[in-house]
Amino acid sequence: MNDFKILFAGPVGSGKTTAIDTLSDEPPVCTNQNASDMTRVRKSETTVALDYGTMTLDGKEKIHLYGTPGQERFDFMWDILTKNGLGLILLLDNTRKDPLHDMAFFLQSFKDYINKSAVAIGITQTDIVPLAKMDSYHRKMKQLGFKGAIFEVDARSFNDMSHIVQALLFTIDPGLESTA
Amino acid sequence: MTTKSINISFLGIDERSKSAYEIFFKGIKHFKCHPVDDYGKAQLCLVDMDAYNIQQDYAELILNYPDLYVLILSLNEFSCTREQEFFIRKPVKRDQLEQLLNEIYQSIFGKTVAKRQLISPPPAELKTDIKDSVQSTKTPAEKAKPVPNSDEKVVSIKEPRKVSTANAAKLLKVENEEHFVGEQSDIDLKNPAELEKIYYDPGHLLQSIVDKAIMKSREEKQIIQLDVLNNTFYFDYEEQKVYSTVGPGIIRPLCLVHHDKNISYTTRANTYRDKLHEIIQSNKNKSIKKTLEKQSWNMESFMWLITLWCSRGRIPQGTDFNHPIYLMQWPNLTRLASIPNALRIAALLRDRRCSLSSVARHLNIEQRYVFAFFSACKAIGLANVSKRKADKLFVSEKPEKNKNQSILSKILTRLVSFSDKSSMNEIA
Repeated sequence: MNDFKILFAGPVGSGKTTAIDTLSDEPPVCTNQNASDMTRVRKSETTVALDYGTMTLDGKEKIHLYGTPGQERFDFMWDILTKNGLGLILLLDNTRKDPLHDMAFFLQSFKDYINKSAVAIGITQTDIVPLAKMDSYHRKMKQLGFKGAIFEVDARSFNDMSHIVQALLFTIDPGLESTA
Repeated sequence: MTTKSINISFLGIDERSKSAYEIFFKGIKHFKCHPVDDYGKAQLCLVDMDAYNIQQDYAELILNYPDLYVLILSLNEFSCTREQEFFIRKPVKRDQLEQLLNEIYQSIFGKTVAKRQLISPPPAELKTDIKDSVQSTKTPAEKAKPVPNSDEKVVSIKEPRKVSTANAAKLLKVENEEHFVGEQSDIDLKNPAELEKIYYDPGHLLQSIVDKAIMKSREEKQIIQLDVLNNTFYFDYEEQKVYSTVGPGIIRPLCLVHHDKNISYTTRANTYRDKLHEIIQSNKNKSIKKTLEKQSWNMESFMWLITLWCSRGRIPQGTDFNHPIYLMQWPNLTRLASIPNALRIAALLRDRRCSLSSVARHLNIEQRYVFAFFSACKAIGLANVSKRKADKLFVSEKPEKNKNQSILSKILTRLVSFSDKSSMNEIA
C-alpha cells in the first residue's frame, strides 16, 4: 500500500499542530515540549520532532498528515518527511515580525518538493494584527516563482482547513472530482 | 368540485382598511378569500406600498416568504420584479381588484373557473384600465410559455411551504446556492437567441452603485455614506470595511431591482469612524426582531457578495465567453461567499488560460458556476478577459489526469463529506 502524506510546514506558532488536530480522525501524536529557547516568546510549547495525524479514506486507505518541527534547527527532518508526499500546506503566522520573510524561507527550503508536487498557503491570525495584507503574500509568492492558493485560515476550523487541502488537491489536478 | 379559497394576509394596511377589504372579500362569488394574520399560512399578501417605512418590511416579507403572491397597492408607479408580484394603482376600483384577484387565483390553482363564471365581463374601457395598471414581471417570452396543467399546480401547493427563517448566517451559506449562482441551466452558446440569458447589466444594479461608493472612498480618502431606498451603507476604504444599517435580509432584495433614483453619496470625514459603531449598534437595538444579522464586512467580501446576488450566475454584458480569461491570483475563498466548484475553477484558471465556455466544458460543470465565479472575481479586480491578440489563437486543452488521481479523489470525497456535516463558515 502506498504511504501518501500531506506535509504541514511553517514557523513556530503558525498552527500546524492545531491544523492536524482539526483534520485528523484520531487525536494526533504530538511531540510538543515546553519551549526553553527563543521560541518561548511565541509559544509556551513547541513541536520538537513532528506532529502526526491520519485521515482514513474510503477503502481503509490512510493519508498521513505530518507537521514539521517549527524550529528551523530541525530542518534535517524535512527531507525525510517529504518522501511520498502529495503536497505541502504552508501555514504562516501573520503576527510574526516578518511573515513575508518566513514565506520566502519555507518556499525556498521546500522548493524541490513543491516543484514535484504543489503548495497551498494558509495565513493564520489575520484577525489579530494584520501586519501583511493578502496582496503582499501573493506578490511575494509570484516574485519567488511559485503558484498556489493563499487563504486566510483559522487552523481550528475544519471548513478552513478543508478548503486549503482541497485547493492543494485541485492545484495538483484541476480536473479532480469527488468519488461520492 | 368544491371551490378553493385563498388565504390573504396584509402588510402596511391599517385595521380600518383591513375591515373594508374583509367586507369586500365576502362579496366575491367565484372563490373564497380568507384573511389570515400568519404570513406563513397566506398564499397572497396585500401590501400598501405607501405605508411608512414599508420598503424594509416588504423586503423582509419577500425574503422570508419567497413563494408568496403579493399584490402591491400604491399611489405611485411600481415596477414589479418578481413573478408572483402584481401591482394595482390607487384608488383601487372594486371590479379591477376582483379581476386581479381572479387572475391570482388562477395562477395559484391553475384554473379558469372564475373566467367562465363571470356573470358580466368588465366593460371594454375597464379592461384597458386593468391592463395598464396591472403589471407582472412575466416577459413576453414567459407569457408565451405553455401554462402548466392544473395537476402540476395543485401538486405544488400541496407541498409544505418553504418558510425560510432566514438570517445572516443562513444567507451566507452555500445551501442557498440559487441566491449566489442563480438557477439558469446551461445554454447553447452557439445559439444567439439564448445568449441574453447569460448576460446582465451591472450598470443599474446595486453592484455598480457599491463599486462607485468604494471608488469614491478610495479617491477622496474619506468615509462615503451611501443611501439606497432609505437603507444606509458606509464605505471606509482606508479600513477596508463596509457597514450597513441593515443586514443581508434587506440587502439581497436590493440587488434584485434596478436603481435609477433615490441614491445619494455623502462624504464623511474619517473622524466619523467612531460614530459608525454607535449608529450600527443603535440601529440593531431598534430592530424589532433583534436579529444578529451581519452589518459589517470586509470590503472585498462585500463586493463579492453583492456581485453574486446581482449576477446570479450570469456575466457582465459584452463579456466574450469564447476568449481566454485570466485570473491574477486565487481569491481568498475561505473568507468569501461560497460558490460551488470555485476551488476547481480557480485551480484551472491559475494553471492555464481558458475561455469561460471551455472552463465549464473541461470541468464538466454547469456554466452558471463559472459565470458567477468570473463575475465576482472581475468585480474585485482579480479576473478579466485577456486582451492579448495572441490569445485569440489559443486553444485550451482539457487538463491531464494526475497519476495519483484515485487517491486524490478519495481525499476530496472525505473532505467534502465532512464539510457537509460541519457547520459552514460565515463570510468574514
